[in-house]
Amino acid sequence: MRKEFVEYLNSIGVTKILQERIATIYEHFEQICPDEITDIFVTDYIKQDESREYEYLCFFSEKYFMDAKQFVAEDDFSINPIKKRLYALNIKKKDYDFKKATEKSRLFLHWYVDIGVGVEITLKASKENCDYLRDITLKYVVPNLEE
Amino acid sequence: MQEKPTNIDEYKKWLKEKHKIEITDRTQMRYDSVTAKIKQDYEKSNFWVKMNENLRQYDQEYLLTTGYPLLIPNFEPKLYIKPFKSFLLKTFRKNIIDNKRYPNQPKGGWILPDNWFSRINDILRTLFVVKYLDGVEFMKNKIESLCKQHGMKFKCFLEAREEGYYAAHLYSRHRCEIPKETWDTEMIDISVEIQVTTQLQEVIRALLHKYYEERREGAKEKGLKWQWDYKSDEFITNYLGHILHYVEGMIMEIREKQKEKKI
Repeated sequence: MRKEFVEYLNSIGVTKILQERIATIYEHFEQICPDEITDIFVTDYIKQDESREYEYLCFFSEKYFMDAKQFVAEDDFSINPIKKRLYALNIKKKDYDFKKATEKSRLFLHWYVDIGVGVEITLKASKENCDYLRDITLKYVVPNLEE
Repeated sequence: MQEKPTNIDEYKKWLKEKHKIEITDRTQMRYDSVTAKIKQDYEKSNFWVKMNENLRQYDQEYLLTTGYPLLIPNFEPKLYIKPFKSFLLKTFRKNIIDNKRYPNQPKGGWILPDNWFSRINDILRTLFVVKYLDGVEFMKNKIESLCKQHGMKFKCFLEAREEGYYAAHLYSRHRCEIPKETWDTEMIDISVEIQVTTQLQEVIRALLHKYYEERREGAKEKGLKWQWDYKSDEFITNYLGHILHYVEGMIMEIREKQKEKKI
């Protein structure tokens, strides 16, 4: 797996065991994605005991969005084209100025992918992960909104 | 006045018009996310861990009492999440088809996304398959006892339905922390369904499962009772369920007579 992906996973506290699982999913997507995979993102939320729970694992390439739902325990993979196919972007945020995340920051994104039918994508982030989701939004989501 | 929905598509339209609730991919994504978390928590619970540890002990206890094994060889209980399609169908049945007060809300209120994880009692279920009929009650008593040891609320029924369905159903309540749609979490109480059935009943259940699912998708048709409609699928399948139950009772009687002879 790419060095910057490992750095990202370390920065949001993903354990080595879970990173091994992520590496196998990455290899799977590497085989099926026609493009080079350029970014990674893991959705998360904070539980009442302040611990972090991970939900979806996502990869991005220039033309595709890939996700592994409930990746900790399930093998449920999807790949969808994104090039100029996204619409109805909805952003919800809490204690986040879209510049620098704090411990209280939360970010929620929802959009549709037009592949004949509208496929819905939901991503969420907490704490420092909000900054990564912001970067993903600006790099892959906003430029691919349908005109 | 809005007409009573008769199928799942009309039900979705009814949800949208009456309750401003649209069933979309997003609804299913949240369902998948919440149910995965419920399953994950339940698997780690002391109750479930202890249950798995105790199974061999239960098997040996039954063997010592009866001379026969309780469980099928190498049995390990699995947890199943109700698929979203079946879940939505169940809310349709409870809100509309089986709701005698319709167009008013059913007893306990409408089952809608803000309460449906607590109101549907088999989102997460498991099945224990025993070899003999008396193993059902034996296993049910063991599970009840374990629930009590863990201070859990539970309800238990020995099901004997007109449609030839026989099994023990036990519903245990659990406090669960689930993700909200946007961020953070909330605490809810959920029910987990524990079914206990015999090996023979399980064979017929597996065969009939698809048939029951299809039948549940529509409202019941009024007409000839299935008991008289000998050409219908229901006639064959339901009576097969009753016959099997009777045969299992006979097996028990033979087993007990053999034991008396030995004494």
